[in-house]
Amino acid sequence: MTEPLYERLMNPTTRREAFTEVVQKYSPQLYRQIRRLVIWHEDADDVLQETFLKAWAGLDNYKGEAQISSWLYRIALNESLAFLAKQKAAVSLDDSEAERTLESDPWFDGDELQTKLQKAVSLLPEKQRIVFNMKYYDEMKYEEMSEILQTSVGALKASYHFAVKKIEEFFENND
Amino acid sequence: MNSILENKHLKADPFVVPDDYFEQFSSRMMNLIPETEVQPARIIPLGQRIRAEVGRVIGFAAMITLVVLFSRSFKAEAAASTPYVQNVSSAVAVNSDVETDNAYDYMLLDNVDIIENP
Repeated sequence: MTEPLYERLMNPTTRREAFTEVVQKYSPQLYRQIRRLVIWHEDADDVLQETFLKAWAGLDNYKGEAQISSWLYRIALNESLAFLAKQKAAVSLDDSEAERTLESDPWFDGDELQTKLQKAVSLLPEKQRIVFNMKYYDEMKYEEMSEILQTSVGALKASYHFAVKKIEEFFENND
Repeated sequence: MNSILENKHLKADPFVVPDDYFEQFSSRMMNLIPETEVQPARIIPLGQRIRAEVGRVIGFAAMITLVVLFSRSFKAEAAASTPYVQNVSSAVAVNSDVETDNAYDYMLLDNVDIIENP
């Protein structure tokens, strides 16, 4: 899909100006998606920077076949997963560590219920976490998610279903 | 039984960011992006281009002319400055004819038929 912004990104004389617009337009939503995976604000900031650096470096490979937002989303998720793979500890936390970590974070403003939900989500497999966050918090359509994640709608629905079940069980068992 | 996830309060984003974070992020981000220098195309007026091309052609023609004139002059000088060489060549040519005639004469002397029946 071509759009005026795409054409300006492909033009060397207007590329930088167009990319500035891309950063301003998409950084909030990309940040939210990244933050829900990596949890810490400082880490999310690092991953967000890496995302846009990768996007800038890969502009010549972006042919406009997907929407810019989908293309950026994919880069952000890959960078987040790569970061988590290095971090390891951020993916799964035991009960006491999760509450202490989130409560001590000045950039986390959740109450007890929200903290418990974050704890439950952190225990999900990475792919399910991504699907759950996109569906539950961003309320994305399955078709949109399918384009970004390159996964079938059916698989996404199943993944979300299992994620919800696990979270509900966590709340029941940790009441 | 309603799912706990239907509680709208849970959908609120508990993650917060520092004030002006996204505004500052854009500036920080673009400072990290390397500057790409794009050389502007040099526009040469048509008249200037034509004059430049004509000048090149004239210069080339002048050079060729000089080369031709110089080479002719060199040949003329070469001829004038070395007459002995030319005369010797002529002399060699004349002497060769004489020797040939003498050779023929010698053969004729041996060929009785030619002598007796010229």
